[in-house]
Amino acid sequence: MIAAKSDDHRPWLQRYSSDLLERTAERAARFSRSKKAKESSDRLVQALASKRSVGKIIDELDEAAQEALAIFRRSPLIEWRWDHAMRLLGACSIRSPYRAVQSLLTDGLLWMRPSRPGEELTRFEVNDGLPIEALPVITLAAPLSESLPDQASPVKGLVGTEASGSWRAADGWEYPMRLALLWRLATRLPIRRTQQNILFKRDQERIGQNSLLEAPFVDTPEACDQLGMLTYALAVQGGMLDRFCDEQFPTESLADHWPADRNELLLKCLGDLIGVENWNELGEETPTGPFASEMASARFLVLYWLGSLPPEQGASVEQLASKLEQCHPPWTETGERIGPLRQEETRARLARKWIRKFVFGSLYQTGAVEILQTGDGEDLARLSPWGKRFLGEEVELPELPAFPGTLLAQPNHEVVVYRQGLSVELLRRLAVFCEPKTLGAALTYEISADSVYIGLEAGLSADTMIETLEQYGGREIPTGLSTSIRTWAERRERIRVFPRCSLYEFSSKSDLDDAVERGLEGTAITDRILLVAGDAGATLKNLRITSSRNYSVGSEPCVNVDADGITLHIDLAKSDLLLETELRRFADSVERESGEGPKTFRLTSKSLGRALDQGLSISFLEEWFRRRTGESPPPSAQLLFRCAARAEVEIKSLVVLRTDDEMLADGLLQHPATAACFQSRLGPKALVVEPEKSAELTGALEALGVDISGEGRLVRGGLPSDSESTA
Amino acid sequence: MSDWSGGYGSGKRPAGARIPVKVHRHVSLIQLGDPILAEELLARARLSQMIIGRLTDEVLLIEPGKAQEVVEELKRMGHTSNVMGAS
Repeated sequence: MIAAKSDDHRPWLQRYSSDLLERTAERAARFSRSKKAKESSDRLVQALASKRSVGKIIDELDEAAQEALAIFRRSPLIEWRWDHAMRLLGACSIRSPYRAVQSLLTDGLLWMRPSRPGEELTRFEVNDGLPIEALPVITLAAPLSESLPDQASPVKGLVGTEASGSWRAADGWEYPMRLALLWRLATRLPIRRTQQNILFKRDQERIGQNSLLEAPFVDTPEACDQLGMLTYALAVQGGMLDRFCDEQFPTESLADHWPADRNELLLKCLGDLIGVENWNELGEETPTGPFASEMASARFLVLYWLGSLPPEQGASVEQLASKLEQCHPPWTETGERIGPLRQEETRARLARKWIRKFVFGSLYQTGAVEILQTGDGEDLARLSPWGKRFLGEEVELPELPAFPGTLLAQPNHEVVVYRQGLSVELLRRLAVFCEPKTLGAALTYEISADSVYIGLEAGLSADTMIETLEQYGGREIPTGLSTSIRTWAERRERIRVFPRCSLYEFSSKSDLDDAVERGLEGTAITDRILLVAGDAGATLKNLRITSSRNYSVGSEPCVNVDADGITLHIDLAKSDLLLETELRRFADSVERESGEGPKTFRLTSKSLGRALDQGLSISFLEEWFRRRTGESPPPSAQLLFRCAARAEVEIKSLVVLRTDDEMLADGLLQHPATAACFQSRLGPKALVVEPEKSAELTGALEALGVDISGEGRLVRGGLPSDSESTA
Repeated sequence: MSDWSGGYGSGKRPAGARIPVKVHRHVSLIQLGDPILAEELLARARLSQMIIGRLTDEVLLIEPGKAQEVVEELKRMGHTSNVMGAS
């Protein structure tokens, strides 16, 4: 993987084992006259910063290593994955690229980093057959960007065409504009990848079918395909998306990710484009994986060849394609053939198509090349000052004309931005709180409640948004727009959600006031309770904590039930804030006679009726008792629950048969002559008689020889009246 | 004569003595700018399930661990909320 390089040496040298770092530092510092630093890494950096010392080291190198160094010095902004570096050196006809790089690493002129996080580098050897993800990365040692003597380019042979005319270059804003849009998309919803490391269908559509990302470039000599996916590939390459499990989240702020200077940003985009692997210029004509992986070195070679042309010359597609066919392994006779490159005719056609798509398409948009359209179909390209700077040349970059009033905020909440005056800072700020509508010669954005809300969530204030619009517009924005922004911001302040805060409960208002006077910061939400955002902690010096409840670990029993089963006493040491609120839903507060002692609540039919009317259920109340008292509700409470739930009772007269003996009742219930005559059993010796079967029962009892007695004596032909029967 | 008792015995806390307090940690809540807004939120069935209590007219306690769901539900209702100390 290739990425823009950091000048800081620490990320590199910290990965060296102490032994390897010591050896490398010793070797690099062998010609150094300066006082030797104690730390090996400092000694190495110190030695490489000296032109004299570096010159002597280079003199000792063999020719292949010197030529390899001359190539790497032309790519000071990038890191090379091992296989890409070998491919590049091979394409530049360096003999024994492996040995040349080993020699540069040993002398400390190149630095190496293992690709796996946390892995320590103990040697510079790289075994054949390592999987791509295990290949190390190399780069030119950071101090050399200042101390390397001039070296002639070892790559020659591109014959250009002298031409004069009006060379033109792109403004370079296409990629930053689209990256800002992708950042916004990913901020709303992270991008997901499958286990096979491809995008989920939802995200493929979100990116690949986004009308803004897919919109053609404004100034485009050659159209590029799949621009949404190209933007995504650039974002991945440039480290704009952080991967967490199967999701990719954007960096928190574009300000942290993008250099503030436009030139630096364009150079970063160019470096990222060179290393892009999951997109290629030929799209579906070539397999994405192996072909795209080879293209990193091909893109750099094209830049390198263009950089070798004299100032008055440009190169045509044919000239560059011929060079590519001669040098770059996938296209030459020596390289491993990939897919359609196997056939010679297809190979020649694709080489020309790839060059055209790259140089006049994706590369042109970085502003690194200038083109001259001759009209006879042979367009020429040469490096622009930006491109030369990328290759490490000390080139004075042209001053961009100032363009005040680049932004126009309209009363219909639309914002128009003219590209001539676009800046990194403006693009970054607009990406946060404006919804892009078109990305063309002028950019249009819309400001809505939703976009303002996203801006506020990102930490901007309404005033900052208005200031941004006024600063870049050069005048006050329409009153309606500023009012809308402020109103939307204020609406948000009406509802404040504290996912995790602390509440300080004081015994009295005066205690709370006293604590605030002594410096406890917070918002009083009642006379006795102070809300402190975040965790309790720092300002507890003046406080004596009588008890502390952690709400993330659930509640514990904190209510004691009186002997009557309906009076509930709060255990203040264990109770939480929710308890009283919960209790008030189904119990009434009891006034304390002395004003001291635990708070008390009582269950009543009325309080429980109120609770059930509000939607609480008996099962909820039973569960509450188990959670808060540690036991099931006592019977008297159960009685009230059921009364409140309008439990029904029935009063009616029954004919009851009573026996002296439990066994006799069992026998009557089982015997076929009498079993069907009973409704139910009231107790061991009492059975309820089916009213219609009393005569049948009397007959059956007589037949069995059972004596019948008592007030409700059964009579043939019917039952006694209700007043005579036993209830 | 100066008061040398420091407030002891008077029922008052001595000056400078530490203030007793009960601390409720890791509480999730919504603070509203208007009691009517609280009524509106509580009338929303899905939201009221996640509200476990009303501490005051303008402060609603959220069931622990449900703050993000509450924010999402507020969005569905068309309300924007200021999530304080969101990480």
